[in-house]
Amino acid sequence: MKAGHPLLEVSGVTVSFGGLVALDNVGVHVDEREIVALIGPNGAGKTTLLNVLAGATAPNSGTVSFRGRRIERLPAHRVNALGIARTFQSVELLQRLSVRENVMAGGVARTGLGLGVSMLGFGPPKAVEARLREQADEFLGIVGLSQRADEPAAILPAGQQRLLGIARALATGGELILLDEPGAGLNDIEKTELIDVIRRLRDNHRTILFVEHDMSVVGQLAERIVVLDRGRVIAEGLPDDVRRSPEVIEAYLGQPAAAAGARPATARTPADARPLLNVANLSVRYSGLLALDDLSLTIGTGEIVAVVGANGAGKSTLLKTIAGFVPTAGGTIGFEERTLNGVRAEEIVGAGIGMAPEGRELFPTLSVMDNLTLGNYTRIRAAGFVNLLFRSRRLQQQLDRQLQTVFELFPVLLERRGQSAGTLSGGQGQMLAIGRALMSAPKLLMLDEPSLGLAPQVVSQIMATLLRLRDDGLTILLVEQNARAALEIADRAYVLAAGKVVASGSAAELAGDKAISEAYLGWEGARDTALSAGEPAVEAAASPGSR
Amino acid sequence: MWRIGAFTLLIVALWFVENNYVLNLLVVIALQTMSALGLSLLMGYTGQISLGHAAFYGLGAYGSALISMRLGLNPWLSIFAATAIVAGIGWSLGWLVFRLRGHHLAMATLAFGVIVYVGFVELHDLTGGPNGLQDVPIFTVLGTFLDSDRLIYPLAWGACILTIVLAHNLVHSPKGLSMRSVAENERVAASLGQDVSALKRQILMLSAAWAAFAGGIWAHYLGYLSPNPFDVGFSIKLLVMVAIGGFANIWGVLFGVAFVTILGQLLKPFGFYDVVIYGLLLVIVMVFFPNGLLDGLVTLARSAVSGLRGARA
Repeated sequence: MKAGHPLLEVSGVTVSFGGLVALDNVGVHVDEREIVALIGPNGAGKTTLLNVLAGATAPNSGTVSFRGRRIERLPAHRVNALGIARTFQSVELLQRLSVRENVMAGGVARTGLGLGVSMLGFGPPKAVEARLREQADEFLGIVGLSQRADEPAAILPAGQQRLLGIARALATGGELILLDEPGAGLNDIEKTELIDVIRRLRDNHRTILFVEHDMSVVGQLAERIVVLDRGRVIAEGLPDDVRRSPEVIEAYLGQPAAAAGARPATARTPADARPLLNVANLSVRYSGLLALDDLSLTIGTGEIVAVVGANGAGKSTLLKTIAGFVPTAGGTIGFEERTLNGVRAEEIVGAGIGMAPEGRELFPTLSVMDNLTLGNYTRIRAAGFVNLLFRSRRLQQQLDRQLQTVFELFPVLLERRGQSAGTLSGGQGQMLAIGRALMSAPKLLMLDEPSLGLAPQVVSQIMATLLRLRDDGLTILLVEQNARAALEIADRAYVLAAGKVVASGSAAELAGDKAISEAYLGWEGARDTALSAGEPAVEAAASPGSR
Repeated sequence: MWRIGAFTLLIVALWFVENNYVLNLLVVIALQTMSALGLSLLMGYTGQISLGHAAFYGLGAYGSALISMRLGLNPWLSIFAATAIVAGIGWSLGWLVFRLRGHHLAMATLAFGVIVYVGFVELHDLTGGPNGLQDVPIFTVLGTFLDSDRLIYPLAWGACILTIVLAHNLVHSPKGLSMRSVAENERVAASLGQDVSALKRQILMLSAAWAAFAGGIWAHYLGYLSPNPFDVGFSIKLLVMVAIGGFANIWGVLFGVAFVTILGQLLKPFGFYDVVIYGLLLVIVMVFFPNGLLDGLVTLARSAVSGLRGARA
């Protein structure tokens, strides 16, 4: 840490959304010409903190000072005018503008050009335009995009989109550049280019604070790391120290769910299970970003299969693709005897795949009962339109049976069946989300981050319920960041990194494998693609006694 | 710019047409184009919906008429006074409604349109109620009354072409980039230092002023006013014109206005049912020609031509 006045000083910042505390008394500082990484597991509050710094979110309490000036109550455009520029997690290019126009749009506000004068076809607006164009070309030169200045921004590949986002932020005259996941979705060559550009910025007297999940980028760039978990700063310091910190490792890998005892001795292997879901060579792209890359996995009937990996590894995309929300760019998804590629989402539910999505996605104004009934919609609809108005007796019986199953699993939902879903606690909400998915009587239940934001006891309870469901014959695909909890109940697991399967095997084997901690916290992979052995931090993470 | 030159020549040439019906239609097209262009800047270029634009047109018309009648101001002055007042109303309305977005903004502007229309009908002492205002002063130039289509034509089209030039310059200036970034993504625009709400207010103010000026010309040209032309139906009609033009396309808007105005003449036999046809038209254009009818037809024609070429080859 350098002496002197920090460029940015954050202290005591608290942000809550409704009842959820996103940032809890956060204090961070950034010195001039530093490159600081802000890391932490999903839901830690990193983007929220970035939003506070950029003026997009006002904190409930606490202060943010930039060059000694308080900025926490200023709107985003004023914060930007003071010299803080940002990029977005999803890049957010102005799609209908050209590459150069995107950068020029970043510079307009600084010119202070008025509305009236802009309607003259000569004089000031033309001069300003020429100046903006010149500046834009300069910034495009810095990020190496000069060649593509006249192309539409929308057609750039992922890596160049990120670079354009940075050039646009530079054009606003920012001195402190906030980057939200600059490395997400980039391939190795693109990452190297990005890292070069960011270093060049620092050499040009810019200060960088970046949020990143990709540890290879963090490892190569960061001079200092700040780690957030559940809205609090849990560690801060030099990269290697932070990575060895037991708190950090625990924050990333999660705590064991302690659902032990419920786990049957005979873990089923794929050999003796008939495959229910068969994903082969699946690729998915989001406007150029490769989210899933030639991914294959199988799930046998009656198995719990966990998919673990760091944020941005492609876990949720995998589930959404199977559920039919995201189109495939290649490969096939086989379920039982049929192929699910191109099948509409509601038909996939009808085919027997239920999903409890990330963040639960309940209908907050509807009652618990209504939420559950809606989970049964495809069945009711399949029985004929009239049944939406009057359910036949057979259907009602079937609905009641399904409700009973759910209420047996989660008695609390029965107690609260009349309450609106928005008033449930996080754990109850997760139970309702699972219950709603079960209402369609699926053969395969997919869960996306069921433990997200929940207390450890609640996580154990939910994991134990999943085991019960499995024992009743249900097949479960569980996506989790909380790898330890997931591996404890799963039969088999796949480890995802950058849209690829980097390791797979029985959960018991994987639980002790360094591949997992490497997928979350490793950055050796960038220098040496083979996972190097004998890395002390990794072993500390892998040994169960490390907490 | 050559387009504007060529277009001006065309308009000058059309002035010599010996047909009052055609001239009258052209004057109506000029005035409605001014209003529709403002709406296009607001909706197409800045991404903010307004379902109450007829109100600005009406306020300009009633405002200028009343100022000249009650205060005895010359129409040439009252029209500028009314335009300034309506611009102020537009700015204040923006301050009020731009905390809303999407459907809510649509509802709020619609409500504004309805309130203003009800005002025209119900404020008997001021507006004459449903009977409207009689004997609105007519523009004079050197003692000549501009009381015919042929005489008002240069004023209407002069103002309209000026509006086209200003709009064209604005959207091609750096400010136009700001507008387009606000339309695409307000969060990003704010992160780039742009004061999003101020910009939206300015554009609403500008588009209110243009509509008001057109309304003023209309009032002093007809010589009488009644509330009916300024109802919500006219707001919707302006929306259809802009939609047919492709929202963010200045020449497209001109085409949209001409198309809808001429269609309106053909639909006269349908009486009040013409609204149904406008509605249908809007749906068809939005679904099949999201970039506007002009653009859609050009694309169709191009593919037909290349199809023919392909068949010949």
